[in-house]
Amino acid sequence: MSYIKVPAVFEKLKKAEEFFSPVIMTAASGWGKTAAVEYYYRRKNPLVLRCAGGNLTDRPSLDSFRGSIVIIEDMQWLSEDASIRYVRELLHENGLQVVMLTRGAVPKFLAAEYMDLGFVRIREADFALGEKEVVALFRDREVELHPDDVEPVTRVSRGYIRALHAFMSRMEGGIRYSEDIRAAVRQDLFRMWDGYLSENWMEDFVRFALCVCRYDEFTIEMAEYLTGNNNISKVIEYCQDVMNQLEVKNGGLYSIRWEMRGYYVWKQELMWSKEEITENYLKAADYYERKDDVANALLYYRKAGAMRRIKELLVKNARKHPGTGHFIETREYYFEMPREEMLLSPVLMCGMSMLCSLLIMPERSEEWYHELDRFQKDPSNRRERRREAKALLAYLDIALPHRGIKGILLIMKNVFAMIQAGDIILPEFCATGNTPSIMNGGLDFSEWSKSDTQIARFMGKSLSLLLAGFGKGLVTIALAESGFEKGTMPAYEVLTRCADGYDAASHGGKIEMCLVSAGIQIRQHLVEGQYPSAKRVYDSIAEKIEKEGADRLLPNLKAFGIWLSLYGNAGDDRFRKYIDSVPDARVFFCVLDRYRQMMKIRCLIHDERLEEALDLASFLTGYLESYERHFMWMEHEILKAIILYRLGDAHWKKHLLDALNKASEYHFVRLISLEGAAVLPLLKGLEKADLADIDGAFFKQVYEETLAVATNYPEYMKYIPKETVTLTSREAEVLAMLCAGQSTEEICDALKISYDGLKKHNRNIYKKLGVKNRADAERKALQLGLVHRGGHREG
Amino acid sequence: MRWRIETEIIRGDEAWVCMGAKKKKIEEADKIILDLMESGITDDDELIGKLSERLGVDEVDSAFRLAQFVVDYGEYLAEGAKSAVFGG
Repeated sequence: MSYIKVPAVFEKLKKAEEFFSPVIMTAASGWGKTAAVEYYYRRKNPLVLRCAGGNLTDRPSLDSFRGSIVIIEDMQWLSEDASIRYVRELLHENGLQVVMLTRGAVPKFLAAEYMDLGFVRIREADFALGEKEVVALFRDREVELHPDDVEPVTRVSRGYIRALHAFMSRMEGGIRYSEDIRAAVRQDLFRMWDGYLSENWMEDFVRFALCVCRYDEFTIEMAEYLTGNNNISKVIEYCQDVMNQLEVKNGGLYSIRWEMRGYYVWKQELMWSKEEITENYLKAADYYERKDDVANALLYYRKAGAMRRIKELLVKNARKHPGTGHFIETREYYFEMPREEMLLSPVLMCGMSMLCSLLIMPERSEEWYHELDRFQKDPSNRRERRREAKALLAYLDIALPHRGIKGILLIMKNVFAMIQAGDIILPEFCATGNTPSIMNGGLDFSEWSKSDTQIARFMGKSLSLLLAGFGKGLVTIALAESGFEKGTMPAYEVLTRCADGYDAASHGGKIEMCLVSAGIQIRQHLVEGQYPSAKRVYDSIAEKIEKEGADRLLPNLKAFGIWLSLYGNAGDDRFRKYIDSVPDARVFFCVLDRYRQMMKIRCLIHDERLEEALDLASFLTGYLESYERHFMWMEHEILKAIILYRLGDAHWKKHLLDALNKASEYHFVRLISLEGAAVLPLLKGLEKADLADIDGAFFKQVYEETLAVATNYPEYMKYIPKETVTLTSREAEVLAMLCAGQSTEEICDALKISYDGLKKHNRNIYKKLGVKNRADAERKALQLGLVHRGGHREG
Repeated sequence: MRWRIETEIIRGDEAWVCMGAKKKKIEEADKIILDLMESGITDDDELIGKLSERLGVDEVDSAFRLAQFVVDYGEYLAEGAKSAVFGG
């Protein structure tokens, strides 16, 4: 059997030899530390010393040693002073190179020497065999390895020699790699580690490892809770000194290394009873619950089969976060809950009703609503529980997304009366849906915009009281938003009202209302052509949200920021990244995602991925119509019109006119004009006859404002029809070579032009493509199909 | 609160509000508000007070009813004065 050289290890040993530096190899057992030094130093006749029980087994006098290499194995066991002193002497001895092997980290007692003497450290990653070495190893051992199996064997083994030996043993006789082989190798390794490694380990450590092995990460506090051992720091110290089984992460978190976790889980299943394993899960779940980590708490209660605890936690969570109840995040637990358990809990029935509505299941939502109603009316239920059910019904009457705002005033009147009479305490709900809008927030209140001032006059005070924290600044901000969207409130007034509302919301109100206020201000600044002011307001609200830890607002804040970037002519790939970050609506969609999905459509349009944009827009149509999201429906019809226009589909006109008709009912100017350069060509494409049914004054205002926005932000979702990009043949050649990644020198040489000549061509190309630099030119050329990937020209 | 200048109220067995070619029937429950408006009350606070008196309900209840009236017949009503909301 030959030794298979590992290049990374040998390079480092050579480097150490060159400078006579001490070497320390830190790798768990089985990575080939001993084999490496035995091979490398085979002709040097080294002195080999070993450690056991805290001591070096031998401390020969250096006078008797003629060689220049001293190898010390199993340094992880060294703790006794005399032996440590001896090692230090060796390190300081002239003409001697010391090579130390340890399964743990660099020993603390050598920290100073490690810094001063310039140790060469060889880690586990250096020992990992690559595919080339794996092939050589199998060949040397005369075990056939099919070429297709090289990658999976290397990957699964992670280049770990012991694992590779196990693979060779299992794959002898030409057996191919498979999941069964992988599972068998795992078992082989576990048995091997169990056989000779674990005997030497500290008992406290083994118990600790068994208690934490099921968890991806843990803190010292969690480990102490699970083990009942208050001295886990010492155990961790031992682990780091003696072995390489712990990973230290940020924020005081640790985890057992992936390879060893499997081993400890296997060992736990051998050593512990089912009850002990369940108890471990329950303790972990309890710990997570106390730390408010609901997701992990639920996960481990489920593993422990603790249905009652799951139910209690769902109820507690729904009560704690009444606005959204974290229903979406915990939805699988709601759906797994047995129906008979649900029917006993008003909070869970309410949660189910809201959850189904959020997941576009209105019929099921109403079913659960009726169950809750039945519970409330049933005299056999206790009075306090019926009272709670009554409050929850009032909450659902107002907040269920699929019901829209039909009849909501009567509902609010009755609810208000119940609150005044002390009949119920209404749970808080999120009026804005975490979006930068109150009019188009949790529910669509566009209808109220038609008589905004008069409604505010009658309703304002009561609504503010009804909405509790959300009531602060509400009327002011809502009127500002309505006035802004209709273009009927002067800019100065919009901004002043928003500032007043922001101020009120900042003092005892809700940060959600601050986001609404900022959103209106940003849009107002954009209409005025004041992008820097818009950006300043955005940065300010983003900072506030981060500072206050309002993480629930981050997804929609990010969406808003992306939209703002479209006006800022950002030339990087943030829009593509944003598209990738938003989940596929056809895989999973809930109403809370609507805002992000609308921004995704805009990014898809920007990136000229029109078919995908149309697909997403079509998907959303049903939801927007059935849930009476009028404002968003209008926005989305305009985006659909833009997409169809760019696809050359004549139906764009119908969608645009439908949106214009609807928008004119409300006098909503801004939702059209803010699409600026993207929608302007469509507005120009309308004929007099098309506009017969649309109020002339309204259309004039829309058109003029859209023109102004397009002038200020000409790059906003800008469309360059392919047929209008006419490059000269030289320009086309240059563009193709740019896209092929050729350098300036290469292009000049190939085309026999001067550097200045090339600069001139580049300038013209950028101008015709409407871009500012080479990277954008490449992207645009690909989008328009002027070149294919690799720079080949079209046609 | 007041009707727009262009509107006309047609009374018979039923009451209708008309504006040009558009018209809408005034529901039975809303006739009391119509009567109060036709009696010349335009001030919102006075309207709330009188409605409460007539219906024997509190002012919050009346305010909600009036808001619903605005939602139902808003296109026939004159725009409210912002000063009534913001003062000044």
